[in-house]
Amino acid sequence: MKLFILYIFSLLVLTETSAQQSAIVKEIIPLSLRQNAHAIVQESNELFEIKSKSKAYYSVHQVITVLDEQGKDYLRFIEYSDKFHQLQDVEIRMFDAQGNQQKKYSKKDLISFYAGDGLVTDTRLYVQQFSTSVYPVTVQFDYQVKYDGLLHMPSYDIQQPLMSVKSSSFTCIVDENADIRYRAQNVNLLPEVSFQKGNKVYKWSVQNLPAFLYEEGGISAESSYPRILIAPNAFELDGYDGNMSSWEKFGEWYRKLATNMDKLPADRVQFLNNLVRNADSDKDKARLIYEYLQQNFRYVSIQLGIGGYKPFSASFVDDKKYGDCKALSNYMQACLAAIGIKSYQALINATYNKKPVEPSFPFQGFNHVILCVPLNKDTTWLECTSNTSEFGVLGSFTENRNALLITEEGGKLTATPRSKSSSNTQTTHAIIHLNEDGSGQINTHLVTTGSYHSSSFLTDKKDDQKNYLVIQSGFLLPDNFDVKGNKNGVYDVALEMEKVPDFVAGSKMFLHPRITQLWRASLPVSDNRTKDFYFQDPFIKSDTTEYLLPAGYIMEALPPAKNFNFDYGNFQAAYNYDAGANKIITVSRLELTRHIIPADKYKSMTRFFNNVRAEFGEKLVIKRK
Amino acid sequence: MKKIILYSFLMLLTASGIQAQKNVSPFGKIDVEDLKMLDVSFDPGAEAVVLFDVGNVYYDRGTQGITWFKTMYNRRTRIKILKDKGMSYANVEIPFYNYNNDEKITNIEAVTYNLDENGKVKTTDVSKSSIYIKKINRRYSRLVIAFPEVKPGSVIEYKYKLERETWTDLKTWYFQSSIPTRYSEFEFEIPGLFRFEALPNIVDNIDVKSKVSRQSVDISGELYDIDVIKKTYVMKNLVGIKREPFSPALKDYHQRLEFQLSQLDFGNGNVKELAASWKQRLEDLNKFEDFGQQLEKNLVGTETILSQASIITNEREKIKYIFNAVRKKMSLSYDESIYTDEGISKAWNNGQGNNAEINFILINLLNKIGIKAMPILLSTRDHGVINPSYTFLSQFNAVMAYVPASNGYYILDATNKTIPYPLIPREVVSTKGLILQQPAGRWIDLIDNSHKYRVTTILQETIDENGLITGTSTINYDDYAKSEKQTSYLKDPAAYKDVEVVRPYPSVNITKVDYVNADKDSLGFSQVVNFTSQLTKTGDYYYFNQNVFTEFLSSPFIDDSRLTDIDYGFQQEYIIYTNVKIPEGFIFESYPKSIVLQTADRSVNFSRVSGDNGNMLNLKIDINFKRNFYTPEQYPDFKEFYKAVIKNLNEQIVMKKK
Repeated sequence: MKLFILYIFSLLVLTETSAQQSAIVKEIIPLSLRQNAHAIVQESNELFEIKSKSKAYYSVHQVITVLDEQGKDYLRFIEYSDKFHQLQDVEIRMFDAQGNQQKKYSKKDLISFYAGDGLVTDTRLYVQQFSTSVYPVTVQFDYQVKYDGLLHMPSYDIQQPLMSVKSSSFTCIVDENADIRYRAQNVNLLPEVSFQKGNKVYKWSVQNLPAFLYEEGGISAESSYPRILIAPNAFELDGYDGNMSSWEKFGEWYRKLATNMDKLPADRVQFLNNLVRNADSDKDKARLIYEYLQQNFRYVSIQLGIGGYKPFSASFVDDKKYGDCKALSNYMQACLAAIGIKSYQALINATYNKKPVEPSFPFQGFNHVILCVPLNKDTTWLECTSNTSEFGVLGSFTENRNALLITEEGGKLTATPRSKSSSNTQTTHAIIHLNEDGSGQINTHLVTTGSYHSSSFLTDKKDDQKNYLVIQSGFLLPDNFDVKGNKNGVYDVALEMEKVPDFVAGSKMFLHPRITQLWRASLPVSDNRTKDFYFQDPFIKSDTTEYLLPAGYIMEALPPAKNFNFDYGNFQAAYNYDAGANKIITVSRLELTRHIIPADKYKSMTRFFNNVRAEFGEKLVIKRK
Repeated sequence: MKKIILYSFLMLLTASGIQAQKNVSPFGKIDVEDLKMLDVSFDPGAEAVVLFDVGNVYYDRGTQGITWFKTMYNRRTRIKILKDKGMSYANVEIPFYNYNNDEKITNIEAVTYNLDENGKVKTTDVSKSSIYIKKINRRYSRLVIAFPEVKPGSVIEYKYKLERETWTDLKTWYFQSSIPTRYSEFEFEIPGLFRFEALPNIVDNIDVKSKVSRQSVDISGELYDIDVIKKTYVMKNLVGIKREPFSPALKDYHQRLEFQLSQLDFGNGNVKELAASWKQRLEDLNKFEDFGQQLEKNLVGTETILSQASIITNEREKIKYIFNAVRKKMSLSYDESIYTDEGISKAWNNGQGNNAEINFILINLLNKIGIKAMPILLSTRDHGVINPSYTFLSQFNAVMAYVPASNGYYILDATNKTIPYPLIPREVVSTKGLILQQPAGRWIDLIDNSHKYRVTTILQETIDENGLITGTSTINYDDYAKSEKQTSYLKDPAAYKDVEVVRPYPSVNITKVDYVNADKDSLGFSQVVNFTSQLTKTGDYYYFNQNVFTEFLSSPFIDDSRLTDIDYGFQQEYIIYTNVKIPEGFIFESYPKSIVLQTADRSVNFSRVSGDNGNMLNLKIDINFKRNFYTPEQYPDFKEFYKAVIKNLNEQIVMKKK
């Protein structure tokens, strides 16, 4: 599915472009609009005129004053253009503080290049970063987009961080019978509605909005800021008629696109049935097919025209042994059907910090397709683009979301599984043979799952393995090491270190509490966070480290046991001495129980993780007898 | 020259194509062993390997009005995918210049090889539906081949013909890339009329064969016998080289051959030299509208600046005044050009220009007040090393101002808003430049050992009876350190504080941060941090780590070996003074000892001097990097040293109660 283009600043719009030169010089900006602001939207008017279910014109007129270098991002133009969304007349003017026009640009002055990371795509981006060495500077954007097909509609992006808004509006004109639907996000704002010659006119407007700060690590940008989403009822794209007024109907549209894409040649049906003939349950059969696909098919992104939405046929994928998310999910579905197992393609908005789509507002916000296999109350979800995922494990890329299942009865919105800390684990058990000279041999049993799992670790180059151990897994830097294991995720790692102690002072050695540091990341500091914070996943990391002390040494002092908590996390560490065996055993465990931390818990969360990081500075003290 | 060129020219016996030999099996035929192969003996663990990459080039009759010849390339490449990570090598993208049809790709064929269940070779043709043209911008496109039936173990192969409507330049042949190459062969078959110089960037063994043959060539319908020179270059078993921390331009490490047309040989001693000398290049440049002519322009609206500057008597200050005025006024539209775009007059009016325009304005103004200044052509560190024997201007990507001074010279780049005057910009220090000085230009190595990356830290800490540490860290950043820190600070002060000062130290509570000279271009940039922290206690011991606010928290050099240089560009000098006062009732149990460490070649050293007088401890640490780069051979020693430095800095002060 096509990746949505995120506009760095929102699309602004025009009412009338005329005699604006003199209007550019603005009166003194009120203090309330200066606070936290590096840019000010002086004036913004967007107009979206819907002519039919497949035709519309979107025009933007916007005047922004950028106050200083830190507002530089707002001196940028970015817009995409493709078959269904054609960027037309563009005029951009820059003015100095006195209102004198400095520069003027048109579409041909923009840099254009292909968009996204797909191997093949016909979507192009038009970009220009304007530069200045003198602030403030005012830039005026005027441009038009012609819509051919109305799956997507522009949204009214009211405000971005570090930007205040003096005056802004968005107008949508639509045939009153066709109408649109809308939804306000992060703002309470209702449109004025009027009627003109059979058309319904919606107008949203705002004045004098103070700027807000940017907060790192929050929900994805398109859900983060004040915005009005608009969506069609009946629509058309490339000749495919659809209706978005309910999820059922929207699902029907996608089903229509994917019709007749599921045919497999007879010999392939035979082959697949042969492949699963010894499996007992449907789940085992599905697993065999999934693994067969993982070993023989790969993800290749090809997005051309309607191909951005409509999957390649199963026979194409069968022939090429590749496809994108739509094509591979469609193919997996066809394979399962060939052995008599029912499954549904599921549209989803992927990425760990995306907001689940709203059940009460059907809207095209999806960018990915996965497969749902109902399997008799043991619903299994499959990510068909990964050569390495475990069967039935989605990960936070698509967990915690609402997926639109494409069924015979149309679309059905269904929740995907919640992310669980027990699915993302790193467990270490290390035995350190410590020598009198401070050197040591360390035997470690390491088990990883979920997001800690590396599918390539065993076969990686040695330096890549070392980076995985030290950077990803938090191991102390070894001088030498060797990895053994039969399958990915379970390893025996033998390490050698010339100097095990953190430092030596006189007759004493000061030892690290354990072989792995369980938490190292530093989190943004904030006293008054307003947005929830998103970790990639919830997780459990545990470490048991045994120091076998050299014969000439005994334990002198150990730190007291630790126990830190906050609402969504806990950490325990215990340090014990076994005098008989002359060994120190430390047992520790860090758990984050959910990956979304509410803004009001942010401070307690950073305090918690700071405590965990600081704990690694504690020392186990041993001394020569 | 004219005489011959006006003839249409067709070679009857064009390149014989790529010959089958033991290293290169014919298209569509593969040795089963290559499909069974699991790893690369000379580069173990690689994700993919180029089994062979063979290309040849020859001339054919041109098809467009202005070009009498075109250059024809045949290329055939076979790649083995070894791991999941290497699957992306089965998405092949071949860039070409599509403007005006100047380059055309034809005769594309591609196949995927696999072993079937019975161990037999299975060959899958790549059909048209797997080949796409992706338009990159107005001038460039890419031919994209998405190979079908690919999994780890598969081998892919493709070949194509590239026609270029030019006869004056040959594409560079790269023997090496980011994945290992087992066999690479380039064959060159060109009429003796055209004399190309081959410029090697080669360190490993290369096999070169040369042969001259007499061939019948059709020139305007008549056959002539002429000499055709054929050269074949072969390299084998080359490791893959990827980017590593602090590595310079990767292309400097990929072995390659570049070609330059130097002469036309009409026979009988009649040889025409082509504009191959630097002298000629510079003469052309000086006459060129987007270069030399710009320097002569009279800029409107510079009177104030010029008259202000002329009041200043000290020459160094005079230059500085102009430099600051230009960099304050001008903003950069785009970088990496040695030519002006719309010209310096327009740029000056707009307050915006590309890097050439901005620096030409600087040179222009300096000249106006009687200061000698001229352009210097440069290649930035990321763009790669210059080969002066290769007279192609495309080697350069930057032009700055060269200003001779009584005690040496300045290299000024007015696009850099924060660099301390008159430091040589980091991206070009320790590289080679060509000064545009009459008559033939002059090469210069931009070595500057007097300016370093200099960091001086004073850390003062007082501990009270309850174990509360109150401290101040004052850091002065000078020269290259100033340039780097100040740039990052000015870009986003809040982010700078968060990332540099607060986040790395979970057990330190920052109470105040001040920045001194943040907006000054000539004074050192200083950062003053007030903080509190708490002693850690285990048993009877109290200790704390004083490795705070340093640049040595962990080593960026984890890999055991390296293929590229560590290229800092400058030398580095760190001095850390630490002063710790402990309360009555406490005594030092131990603290870091006085020590000197250095690498075997003495190019890096670390020294620490420590001493106490009962309740006061003083430490002085010196860390010096005396070279501006370190080679892969020096790396093992360098890496160990770096690790030892961090270990030493992390040694803690341990106290006990009396």
